[in-house]
This record gives sequence, structure tokens and C-alpha cells, in this order.
Amino acid sequence: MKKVEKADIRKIEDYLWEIPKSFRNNMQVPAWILANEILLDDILEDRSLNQLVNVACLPGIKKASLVMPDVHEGYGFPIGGVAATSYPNGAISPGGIGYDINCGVRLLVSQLQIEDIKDQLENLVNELNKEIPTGLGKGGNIRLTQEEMDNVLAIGAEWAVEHGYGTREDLEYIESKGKLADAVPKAVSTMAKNRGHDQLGTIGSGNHFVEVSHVTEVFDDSIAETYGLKKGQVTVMIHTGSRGLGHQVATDYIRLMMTAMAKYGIKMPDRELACVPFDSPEGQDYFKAMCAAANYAWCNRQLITWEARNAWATIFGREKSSLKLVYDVAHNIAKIETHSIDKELQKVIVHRKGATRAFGPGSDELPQNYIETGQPVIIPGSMGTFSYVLAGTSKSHELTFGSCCHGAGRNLSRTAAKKVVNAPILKKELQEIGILVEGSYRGIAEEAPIAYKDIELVVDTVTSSGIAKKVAKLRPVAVIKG
Amino acid sequence: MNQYVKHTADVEIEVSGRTLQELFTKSLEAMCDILKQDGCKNITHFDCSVRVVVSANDCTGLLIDFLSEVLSLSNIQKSLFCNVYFSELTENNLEAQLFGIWFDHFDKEIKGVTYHEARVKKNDNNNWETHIIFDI
Repeated sequence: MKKVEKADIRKIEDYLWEIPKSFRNNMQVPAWILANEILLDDILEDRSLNQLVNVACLPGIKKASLVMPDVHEGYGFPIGGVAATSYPNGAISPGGIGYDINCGVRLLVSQLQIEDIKDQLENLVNELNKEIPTGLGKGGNIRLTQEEMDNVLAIGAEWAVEHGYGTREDLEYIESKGKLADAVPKAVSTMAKNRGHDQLGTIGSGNHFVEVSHVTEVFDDSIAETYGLKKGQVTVMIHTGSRGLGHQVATDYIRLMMTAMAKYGIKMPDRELACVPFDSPEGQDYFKAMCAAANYAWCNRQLITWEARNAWATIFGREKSSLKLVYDVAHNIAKIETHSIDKELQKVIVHRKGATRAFGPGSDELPQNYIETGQPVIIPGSMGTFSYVLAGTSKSHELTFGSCCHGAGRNLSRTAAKKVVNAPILKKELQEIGILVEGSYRGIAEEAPIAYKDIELVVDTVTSSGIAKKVAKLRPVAVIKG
Repeated sequence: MNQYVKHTADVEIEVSGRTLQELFTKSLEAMCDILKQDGCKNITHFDCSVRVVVSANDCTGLLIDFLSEVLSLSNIQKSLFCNVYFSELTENNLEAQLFGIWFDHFDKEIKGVTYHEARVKKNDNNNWETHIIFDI
């Protein structure tokens, strides 16, 4: 298969590039790349654009297959990919969501300033470490019975709140209020439920983390005020997903769809793009199971919030323990949404794999006080670099099906990172510039800042293209690695 | 010895074997080594044993589905399945007994064994070979 080269790509407008439909005869739509030229040259180094071309072959795909500037090579879909297929008979592809269903990020704000916590930082990290189980195979403190598991899968974060692990107000500030109503627990296999029964409230490993940061810069005072962010304020960011339960749902349904595809006369250039019509029995079963796994992930992040609040209370006392939820966004998910396509409002199945929803002002999906500002879009950097809080705009609806980037995006493989990074030295260097990192040396090396793209370039691209607005910049002071 | 191949986000390996059985066994060993580096070295006993039965449309599907099944069992039973005995192994079906040791935690979390780039085929030396990408 011919590798995509720069000569195959044409510029449509600033920050938007196109691989025309004529590039390969099985493309249903063109492929669009949101990037500045420096990032585009980087992106051409791996095979992500060939994967993007494959996505453009999905049955029922609308307008274009898209990648965000933090794109990198995945399997099947590239990470950072967005695809919308026609509702109700367009394709649904588990590969377009990924194995970590509803991997996402949530941001909490404290009432404390960075000066208030400096002396206690080490104690805080130890306490967070004690409260929040990290690493593979680490079970949490909650063991779900079969009935409780089904409730978690059905109502997501609401289960946590009903059991005292959060407040009703928290639910308002979670995408979809932390619950997808189409979830059906019985669509989730026993194997998946077994994998998830002791993992609620756990971070897992890989690129997952809990990070303590502080706001170093505010770009939009009015939106920042609405989000509850001000300069110097300490924040906590949580990045994790649906753990083994979600991984198993993806595994089960990719296997099922590979066999079922032939029945619907679908052939895809990559097995990981296995898909079926959304309204087929297999498509419906997967969607119900995916929604259930997404609910599990929201419940997981809610429990970790509770653990973080406990750690905060232990160190700073109950009266200063308020950690308020700014927002919780999913970046591996499929949603039924309505978007304007060819000047007509159409219902579509939006696949986001490593892409964040970025709804602009006016969307009735948003909490009441964010309707005028657009939703918070939380973009974590790597452990040694800044993170950003952006706001969704109406341009994101026009251009990217209401989507934005999800992070800095990798540019070095984990193996390559381990070859060039000396983890103990990196840990010490980060400590010298005021960033405490807790985690295995292997994990620290694999997730080193050098393994990631320049977040400033990624954020400049999405804001300059108009799909999001800069609101605030966060600097990490402590990172607990999964 | 399995070869690690450059991949931006995940772990990609190249495996080969003189027989299908060797290919499957070496793939399993590679997966165990990702989960827990050298976890299967110098094993003197096994803590548990499980029987698995897998069917697929072709040999590539069979290998990936077999590894996925073992990965799920590894996570549920907190075990590293270092050894396998195949009582049946064709291009579409397998029946095997797995032998494992218990571990409190692994080094790395494998989210999924992907079909992307996997293609079990015979190479010019008449050996079976394939690439496998693990989602990390």
C-alpha cells in the first residue's frame, strides 16, 4: 500500500490539509489533517496518515475522516482520529473508539494557591499515592458484586454519588452527566465483568496519571472565571479510563465483528477497522456494551476524585478540602450527535479515538453555566510540560464534528524513549525544576517529555484554526504515574 | 528471539517459528515478557492451570484470539501463563492447557492484542512468521 507523501496532500486553508478522495479508489470521502506545517512534516514520519486513509473507507462515513494535530500511529484508526458515519445504518467500528473505552480526563480545582501547598507537596504526593491504587493488576478497595456491577454499568458516575463517593453537583460537570442511557449491562461479557470487579478507583498504568498543577497564565478572564480558574490556583487532573472491563469489551466485539462483517458485505483494508452497520444486531450490542463500559469509566474517575479528596483532606484539613470538578471529558468514545453536513443538520455516529469533544456555546449538552462559554476542553501535556484548558467553539462544529485534540501526542516509541532517557536523572532534573514524579523508572522513561510532541505547537494549531480557545495554562508540580 | 519493531505508541514484535506450534508458543512467551520482563525465567513450579479452546476463520485470527484469551485469563487470575501444551493446533482451531504462576502485579498493562499488521504466513525459509502489535 502506497505511503502517503507530502505531494499527495493539498492545503485547503490555514491549518487544514486534505488527502483527496482520488488518492485511493476505496475512499468514500477525503481525509483531512488539522495541523500546521511543522506538525504535518512530523506526522508524515509514521504511518498515521495511511491509517487515516483507511478510515475514509468506512461505510457511511460523512464529509471527511479527520485527524487532530496530536495524531500518531495507532492500529486501525490513528490516535487523534475522528470519523462520523450516517445514522442509523452507517458503520460502527470498535477500533474507532479503542481498547480503553472512555479513557478521559477530569480537572478539579482547589481553593488553595500554589504558595499554600509548597511545604506540604511531598506529604500530599505520599497521601495521593496511598489513597489511589496505581499500576497494573492493582485492585481497588471496592469489590463489586454482580448486581452492583450491573448498576455501575447502567448508571455510571451516578452509582458513585448514590454510594457517597461524590455530590449531585459533580454529575452536572461530567460529559453526558457521567451516564450514557443506552448502556445495557447484559451486553457486557462475564469475562469483562470479571476483569472489572475490583478495578474501580484505580488508575492503571501506561500514560495514565494523577497530576497536581497550578494555573500559571489566564488567557480569557471571563471564561476562566466561569470555569472557576484563577492564576496561582492549585488543580488536580485525573487521566484514566475503563480499565480491564473496557479492554475486554473491545476485544470481544472486534472479534465478533470480524466474523459478522462478511454478512453485511463489508470489506475493510485493516482488520482492526472491523465494523458493522450501527442498526445491525451486532452493531447495537456493541453500542450498548460500549456505553456500559463508558459508564464504568466515569464511575472510576468519580471514585478516584473521592480518593483525591480524601488525600487532600488528610493533608490540608476538611475545611480546605474542597476540590471542585471543572469538567470531565471522554477522548475514546462513540456518540450519536447532530451536526451540520452539506448545510443540513444530520444525525451521525461520531467516533473519537484520542480526540476530545469540544462543543461550543449554545449546546444544550453543556452544564447551564457553560452554555455561553462552550465546554472546557482539557489538554494534558507530558509530565514535565504545561497542560491547557481550552473552550470549545462553534467552529469545531463546522469543521471537526465538535472535536479537538486530546494531548500532546507521542512522537517517540516507548522503546526509543527508554533508549534515550535515563529515568533516575530525569526524575532528579524534574525535581530540580519543582516537579515531583512518582512511578516506576520504566514508566517515567516511557512517558518522558521527550517522547511527546511540543504541546505549544499542538495547542497553537487548534486555537489558531478556531476550533478551540485558550483559557488557562497549567504547570505540573507533582505527577503520580500509573 | 523475538524482534521488537519501531511503533510510535504501542509495542510491535516480529515472531517466527519452524512450526505453527513454535510460532504460537513464542508469541505467548513474548506477551508474557511484555507483561512481566523475565517473569518466566527460572520457574520451578506452576501455581495454576487452565484449558482454552479457540476457533477462528484463519490462522492469523486464531493466533490473535488465542493471545487475547490468555491475556484476559492473565488479568483475571493474576497469573503469567509461561507454558502451554497444545493438544490440538490447526489453522482454524486449537485446544491447549496453560500453566501459570501467580503475580501480584505486572510491569506493563496490555490493553489489547491487535489484528493490525498481523498476518501469519510462511516466509522464504519455510518458517511461519507474523508481526503483532500490542496496545499498551
